[in-house]
Amino acid sequence: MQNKKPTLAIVSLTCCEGCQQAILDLGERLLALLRKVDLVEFSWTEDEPEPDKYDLAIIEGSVVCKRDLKRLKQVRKKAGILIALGACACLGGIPEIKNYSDKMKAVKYVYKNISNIDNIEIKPLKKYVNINFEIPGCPPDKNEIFEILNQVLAGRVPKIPLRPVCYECLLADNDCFLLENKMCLGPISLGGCKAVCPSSNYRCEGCRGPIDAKYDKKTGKLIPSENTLNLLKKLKKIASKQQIEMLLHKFGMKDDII
Amino acid sequence: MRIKIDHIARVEGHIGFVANILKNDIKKARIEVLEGARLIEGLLIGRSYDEAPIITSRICGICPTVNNITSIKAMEAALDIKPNQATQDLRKILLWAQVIQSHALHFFFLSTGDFLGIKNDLELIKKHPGLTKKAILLRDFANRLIEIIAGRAIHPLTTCVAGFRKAPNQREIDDLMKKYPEVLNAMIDLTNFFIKLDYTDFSRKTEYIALSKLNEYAIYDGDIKTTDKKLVPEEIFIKDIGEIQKPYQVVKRAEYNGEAFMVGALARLNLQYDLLNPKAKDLLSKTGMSLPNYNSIRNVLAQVIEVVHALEEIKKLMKTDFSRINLNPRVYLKPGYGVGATEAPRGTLYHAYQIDKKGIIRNANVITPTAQFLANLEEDLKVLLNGTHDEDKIKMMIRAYDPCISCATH
Repeated sequence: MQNKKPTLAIVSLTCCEGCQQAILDLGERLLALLRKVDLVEFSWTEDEPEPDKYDLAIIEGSVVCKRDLKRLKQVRKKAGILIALGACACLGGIPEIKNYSDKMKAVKYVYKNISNIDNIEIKPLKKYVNINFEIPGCPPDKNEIFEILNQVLAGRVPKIPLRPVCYECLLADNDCFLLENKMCLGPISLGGCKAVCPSSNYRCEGCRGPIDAKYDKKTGKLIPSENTLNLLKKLKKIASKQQIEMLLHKFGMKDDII
Repeated sequence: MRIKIDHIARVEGHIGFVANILKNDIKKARIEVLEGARLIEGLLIGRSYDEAPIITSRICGICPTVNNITSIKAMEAALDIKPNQATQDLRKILLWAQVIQSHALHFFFLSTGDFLGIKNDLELIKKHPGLTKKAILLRDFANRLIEIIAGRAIHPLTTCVAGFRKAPNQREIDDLMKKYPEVLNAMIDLTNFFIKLDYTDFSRKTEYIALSKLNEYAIYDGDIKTTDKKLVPEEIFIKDIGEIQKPYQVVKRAEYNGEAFMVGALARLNLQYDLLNPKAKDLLSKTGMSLPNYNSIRNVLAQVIEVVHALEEIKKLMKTDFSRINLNPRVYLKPGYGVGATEAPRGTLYHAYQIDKKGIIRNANVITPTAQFLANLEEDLKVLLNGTHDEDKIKMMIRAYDPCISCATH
């Protein structure tokens, strides 16, 4: 049994499947990775009976309908290690915007006939089941995925350095949005993305989630960090309350920082 | 008799199929969508015009760039903005690169198995390492090109209403283009492999619809062309598409003149094969396929031909002086309604927005290719079921359309 390769499942809940795309975009490196594992569940394979257990499962997307929830629980039960991949799975992502507005309005806007259309509140997957590791980002960085999967397969516990996006943004020698009085969530957002957005002259919108979410041990309530409060103070000088709200809603950051 | 396939593998997203057949009469042949709706259009309401391209790219991780650019085009139509030629050329390169990336994923990794009787892609990779390497080379090239221009391969960053936020690094582009001859040769080898496959002899005449231009195989702009040679501007045509939503369905199906129609690679090829670039035209003639072609399974081969064309087109567009693009342009807001259409890998994609005088989105509508061709696919399946009940043939037909369920539901 010692030489047996670990089994891997890659599963999608409702989403854009961009995270899975990032895995596919690894190209030759994906083929190398697939030599180390036994890929037992993936959209590429057909008619293979799904095993009862996976050593490792990667899951992307959100719980948007009842079918998604059933699948998530099933995968959790089967998986030894469960990795949530991408902003939807880790933070709520774009679909979480509807939580902050009237979610009935959104569904009625899109569908005239709404019977049988699920309209569940969007939550990160860890609110439903125990998640062993999160690879954040919209989309997640393929190099980071590769690195982390190799670490997990080698039996190590991967760690994403707790540095804000600003750290890599400075190294990239970008102009600072905030210093130019433009909104940016760089100071409170988890880095590791090489500040890809500011490097493309686009503000950080916090798709990798907050860097320092702290919760009260007794009540479980979120304690807003000094860092967050300082940034909000700065943002209030730049933009309207509504503009700030909308930015914080975009990838589901708000309920994780304040 | 009832045919039910719970889950169809090797498509983008989760679908099933169900058919009811009563004494050789096909009562029902329906694709069942097994995903939830993220209500993307609803999420846009009340947000600023410049957020639509960023949010709508998340409709689909396989074709984010085309959703992004179509959204930008619709906003520009609403705001009466016309970006310069260099900007349009750079966007065209992005769209063609997206076509290469998406088509190559589909025709090689999702479809080949159907023609070789291989059900598991890992087996395909093992049996055909040479072809796999070529397909990967092709996708790497397209992804890297998008990354250089748009900031990253998935969910573009530098593109914006009226132009670009950042100009591409010419040295990086030149470096990548050194690989062009190798990539084109790999694609020609792949094409020769695909020409030899058996696409069965299915045939059903239908309406084919795509963007069209007089002197160019259209992808970025043009008028909407139908088989009856009618050319219509996108803002008029969008009114002719009927969107039907039934209470139990998260995907809205579309019709034109009350009938199902086809969009995508085969539709484009049928309508403008005479405008292909030389190498693509040459290889198309080698296929021996009749044109226009009514065998939807040949959509796979049409994708292959389009990728050859795409490579040649990118090479041509590289002559553009990218330092002339509209960089960090100023946008003057006004109230308006705008429609944008482009050719996404799977067919014509429409975005339409209404914005107010402050640039706030008041109405939004996105009509994706898969939502348009789903009804046509079901019509094809009815004809197919007349001759065979073989599940593998049903799956082959469904996969040949390259349905994207993330797009279809959004």
